[in-house]
Amino acid sequence: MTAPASSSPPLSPLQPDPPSRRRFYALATNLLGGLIALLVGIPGVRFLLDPLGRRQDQGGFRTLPLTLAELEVGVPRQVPIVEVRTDAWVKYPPEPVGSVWLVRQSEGSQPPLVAFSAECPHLGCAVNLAADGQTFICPCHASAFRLDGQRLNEIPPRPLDQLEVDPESIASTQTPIRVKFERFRTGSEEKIPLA
Amino acid sequence: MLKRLSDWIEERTGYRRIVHEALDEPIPGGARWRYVFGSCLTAAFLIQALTGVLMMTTYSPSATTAWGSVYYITHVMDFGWFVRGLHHFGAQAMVVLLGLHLAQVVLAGAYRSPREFNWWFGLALLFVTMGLGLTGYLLPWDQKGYWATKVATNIMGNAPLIGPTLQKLLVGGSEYGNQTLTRFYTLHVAVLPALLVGLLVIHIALFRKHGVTHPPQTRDLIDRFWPKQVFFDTVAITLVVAIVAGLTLWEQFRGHGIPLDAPADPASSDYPARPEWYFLSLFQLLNQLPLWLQGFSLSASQIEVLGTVVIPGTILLILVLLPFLDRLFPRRLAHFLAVGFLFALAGGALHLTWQALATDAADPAFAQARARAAEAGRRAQQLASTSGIPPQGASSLLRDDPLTRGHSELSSHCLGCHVHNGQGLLTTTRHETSPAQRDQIPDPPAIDGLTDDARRALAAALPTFRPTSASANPTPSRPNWLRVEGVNQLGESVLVDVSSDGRWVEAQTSSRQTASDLAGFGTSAWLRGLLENPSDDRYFGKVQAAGGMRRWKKNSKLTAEELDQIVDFFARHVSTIPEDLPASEWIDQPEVQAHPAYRHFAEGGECATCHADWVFPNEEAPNLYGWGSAWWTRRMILRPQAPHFYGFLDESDRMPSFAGKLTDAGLHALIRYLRGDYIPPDHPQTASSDAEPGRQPTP
Repeated sequence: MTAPASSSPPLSPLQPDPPSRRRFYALATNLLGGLIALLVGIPGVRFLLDPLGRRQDQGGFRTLPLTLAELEVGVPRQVPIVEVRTDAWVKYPPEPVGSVWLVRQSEGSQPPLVAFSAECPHLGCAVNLAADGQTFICPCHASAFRLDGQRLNEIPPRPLDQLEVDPESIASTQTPIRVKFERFRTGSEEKIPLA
Repeated sequence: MLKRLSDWIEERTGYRRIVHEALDEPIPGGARWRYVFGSCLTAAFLIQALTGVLMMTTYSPSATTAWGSVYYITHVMDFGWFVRGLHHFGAQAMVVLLGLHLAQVVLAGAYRSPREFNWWFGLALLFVTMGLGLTGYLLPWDQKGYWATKVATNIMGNAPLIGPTLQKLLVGGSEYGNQTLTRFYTLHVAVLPALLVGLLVIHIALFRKHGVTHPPQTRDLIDRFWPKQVFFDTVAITLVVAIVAGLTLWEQFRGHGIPLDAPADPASSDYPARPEWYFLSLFQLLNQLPLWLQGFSLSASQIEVLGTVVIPGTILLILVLLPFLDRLFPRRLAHFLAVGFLFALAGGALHLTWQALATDAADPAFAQARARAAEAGRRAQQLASTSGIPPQGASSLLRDDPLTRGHSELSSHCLGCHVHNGQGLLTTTRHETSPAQRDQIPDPPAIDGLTDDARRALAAALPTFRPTSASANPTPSRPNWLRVEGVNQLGESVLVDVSSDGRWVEAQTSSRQTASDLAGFGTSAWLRGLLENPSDDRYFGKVQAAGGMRRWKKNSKLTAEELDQIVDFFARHVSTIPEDLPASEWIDQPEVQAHPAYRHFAEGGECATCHADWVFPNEEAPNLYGWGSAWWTRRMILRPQAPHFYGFLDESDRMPSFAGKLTDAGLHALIRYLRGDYIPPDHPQTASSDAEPGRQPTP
């Protein structure tokens, strides 16, 4: 580098930039910094929030390998729901993903069949049939229900979740039963479907 | 309000002093554009850390889940392609910035006393960043990462003494798999980033201690970091981010999407493994050394050690010792030597990189292998999106795909005798001819459309080739190549592609057909064609021993409508027979006997002449019970010599048994492929693959 020409002022401690230029630097820095933050931040947040936008396919009625004729009146029967389960990128071959309790009602009553989700409305454990065959008991916190789903103690916040049964499928005792398999939010007094 | 909050925090932390110290750092000589590279690197690292942590929320490091989770990030999650794209291109931006930063430091003489330690920490940071690139490359567990890592770790294993032990430790055994991924993952997300942050803190602290290395005569100019230099840095960072984001957007919307090859397949034989571009010069050095050192009578492993340990180690040692050059030489000369060394290094690396790229670009085999790899990648992604990834892992996507696996089984076992859509076993040979070789051909055969050079090349490379077409046509999807059809001395048909400059000659030889065309075997269409004309090459035209159907056709009185009925009978009642139904039970079914075509197989019917028996073997024809079903075809492939099939033929005339030569999965894929029972590809196939789009199987 050559020394500056003699006509130019000699080197001296740098004059601070005029305030207007300093303001421009500050403003432009903040602006560009903000732009970068938005460019990376918005997609980043959207990526992080991805599960919120994903809905599990509820899929409507499932056909069970069972007809009304195969059920005894007043004797609950647990039936597994078998389906193809997708866990993020993995698709599993058909396997049980949950189960329902079916209770055939006495002759002549409408509807002739009641179906309950086997998931306890308290905290989601699978409810079981008690030894007396007349009570549903949850093995986790002893929630108890009658065979019509009503509560026998104050542990669960609501009755067992009744599931919709396709009326046409139980109009005859010989056709396979079809049940709408749904999950509901646990711990709430309302029956709120999980979507 | 804000003021009071900041006062409250200030009283308890004294943070203003820290901010003040950070921003009001004096910059002797004034703010300059050339000081931006360190800040750019820090910013790029922060973006890598952020996008990396985001991907960690989904990425799953195991041989069965890694590819699937990366596929999920890239193609399913909101903005996953953008996050991964920033990380992918950001990594490469860091390497570029490292080079620029290093060059700036050497040019400014900032490596010299008293900044030796800062220089050494900078070099350490360079190696940590390269390590991040190397370990990150493997994590998608795709073909590219798998093979590049295999090569890189094998190089490491070739190092003297500790090499093999070190390699086994890093790979987590001698096989590449779960343990390799978890180790590389740990290095990539924990060890190396922590090391980088620690080294960076010291690097910056030392930089702060000594300040920038400014031109000598500007000593009295004092600027402060804020706001001018911060502004310069921010503009440069914006440029870097814009380039990285631009490349991501371009690749996503104009290219093939953020790169993801087919899942790692240790069995693949023709994957064209190349390291990432910034390691290409080292890769090419390994290729070139044996040529350079021909006269020195060194063994291959000695050359290997030279290229992987000695040369890179020497370069590193020189870099480390660069500050001490001043003690040996006058200051100016030392600086001149250092800059000269840097330029020589950069020039050498650029030359080797260019050479590696040019070698690949000129090699048609590389281009074809690359095209096949790209197609496998697209197919794997298509299968993942249509049928999902099975729990046994992404590698089974292609392994169980009838189109991919079935075609490969067909090629290796069946196409020696059979053909598929008229195409037999293709053997590709490639010849490179030199001008001297071409000049030795005085009188090449005349073929319209070929240059003199190309005709000489053809005659030099394939002396026994006889063209059957008088003129050459353009080779599909290969500009500057021409195709000639002909035969070789065995009478096999040959397609020859010649590059217009005559350098390359590529011959695709099809095997000679001696058995039926298997495309669609077992379907109604195949059966109808057979009944229409058994002498066609698709059926028994090329099969000397199987003359029964041809004899039947000569005297047959069946009408077209009756033949349609036979096809319908097979589609409804024969090809659909479950494997566990005994023939004696099936034949008594009223709907079978009631079918209008059944009478041809009953006593006195035309078909019953040979194929009368459904339960026991026939004397001179296969038993057709279950023909067209997957199990019939499977049994035929495994036991063609059984009395039920072609036991009546001499051993030399019948198909050999393939029992023990095919695995169950391979057989299953093969049979589905023959029936066209697979997901059709979502894009046109490239010239290197002759697979047909899927046909509907019989109902």
